[in-house]
Amino acid sequence: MIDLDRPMAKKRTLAMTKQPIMRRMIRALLPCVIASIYFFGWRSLVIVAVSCITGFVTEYAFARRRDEPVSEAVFVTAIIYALILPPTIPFHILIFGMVFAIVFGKMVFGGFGSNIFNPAMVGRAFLYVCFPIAMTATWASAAPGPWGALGLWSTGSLPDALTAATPMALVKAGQALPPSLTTLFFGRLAGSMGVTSVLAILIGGFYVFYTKTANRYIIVTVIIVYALINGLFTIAGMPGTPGILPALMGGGFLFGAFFMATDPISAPRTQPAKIIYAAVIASGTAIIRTFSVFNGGLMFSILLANMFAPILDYAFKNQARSERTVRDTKEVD
Amino acid sequence: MNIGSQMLHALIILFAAIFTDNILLARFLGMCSFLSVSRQVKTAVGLGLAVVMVMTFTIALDWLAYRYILQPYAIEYFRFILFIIIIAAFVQFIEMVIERYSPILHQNLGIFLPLITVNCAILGASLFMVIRQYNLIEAISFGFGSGAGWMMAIVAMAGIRERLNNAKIPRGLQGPGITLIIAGIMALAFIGFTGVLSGR
Repeated sequence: MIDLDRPMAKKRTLAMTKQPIMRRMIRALLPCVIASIYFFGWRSLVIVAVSCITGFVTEYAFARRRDEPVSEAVFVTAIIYALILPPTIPFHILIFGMVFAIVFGKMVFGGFGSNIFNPAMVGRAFLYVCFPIAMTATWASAAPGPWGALGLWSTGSLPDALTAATPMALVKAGQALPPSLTTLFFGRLAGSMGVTSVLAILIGGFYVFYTKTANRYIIVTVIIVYALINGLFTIAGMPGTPGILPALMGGGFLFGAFFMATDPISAPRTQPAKIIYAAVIASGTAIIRTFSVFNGGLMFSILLANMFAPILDYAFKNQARSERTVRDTKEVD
Repeated sequence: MNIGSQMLHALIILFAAIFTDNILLARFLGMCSFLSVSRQVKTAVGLGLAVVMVMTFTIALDWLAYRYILQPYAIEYFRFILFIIIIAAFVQFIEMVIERYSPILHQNLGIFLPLITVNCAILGASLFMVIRQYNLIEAISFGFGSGAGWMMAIVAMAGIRERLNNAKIPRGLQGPGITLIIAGIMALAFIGFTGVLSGR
């Protein structure tokens, strides 16, 4: 029987819509995935895969009821979410957070395109508050040697491989000097799975920057404002500030600037609002990383900026409208 | 304390009340009007301004009443009744003044002014002021900061809800459901400020 009432019916057999932007994002994230395998073992790849599968199944469960295809954006969310978790994260926590991220960060708002908050950030912030020990207490150190962790399941299972704090947390507590810039650049240090290596981030980052997959204004503003504020803190001699370059290169900041802050759905739509949004992210990150009891500054400040994105848009749209009416009335005169 | 350090302390209390200790997103006070009047940005701004004004003035009046009426007679346990009376009287008074001198403002704010009397954030701020033993300047800056923080939250929420007007939210979650979820995620974001500034 032909179902004339449902023109979408045939298209629905494809479980996914093609989204070229999201394809490019996934491609740009691959260097970071590879880096996470190289530094922390093959468990990283399984983490990424599990989070992708969980995300897809969760979104499919919702999308099926609405006769909508699953968006490819869910894989971008899932990969970013996996890459900013500690490499030793237990699988049940990983799955729990991913389901929360997709359901409460995305599907309750009506699915792809209407989510207010960045789903990956919602999931991670939720885990950060609910499972603080799994999220912050143990960190696997990166594997040494030229072959890295390529022959290993996980560096977390090596003897003496677990540390209690990341270099960023130690610097903040005033217990250590920031790691050398070369270490930061190659990323052989303890931290969130896929964001320790500046080199890998920059490869993907230049790709999204060059292809205009991510908004260039947001990237540039976030980096400049963050550098300026950290410069101010360093000049003022605040305790726990690493200095401009280590701050920029450490703690996955660049990953956030290129891949997390630029999420086109949860960022504002108007141009001036985008710049303010980026400035809020950068200053929030600097303040939280320097003064707060938590270290996840980037995640919290992206959520904060997401929260103000609609009202910023509202303000600038109204301004544009009133300017237009002024111009129109002048033309009438 | 000299004046300079006292001003600095008041400033810290102000910013702490807006961001780290936001009365709505960290203390969950004033939720009822936050959920019901956040449908449009314009009304949210109106209510927010009214809350800022009422909170700043009532906290000062409550401070004076507490210091010069309740404390001398050692009847501090009457503070709940007295504070509520002061808030209700102040709101009524303000409404009459506005009605007399600015009918336009009264028309815009009209519905919200009586609502403020039952906004628990107002009473909550006054009670926090007692618990934390603020002096008058600190109390006023705390009241203003709490009001501003409340306004910031409700205006942001109204912006979000206006954007969600065309979103396909599941039927059971429309209205208060999605608003509570959004408020939860907002509060999650504000947790990040824990320990940044402490006004106590």
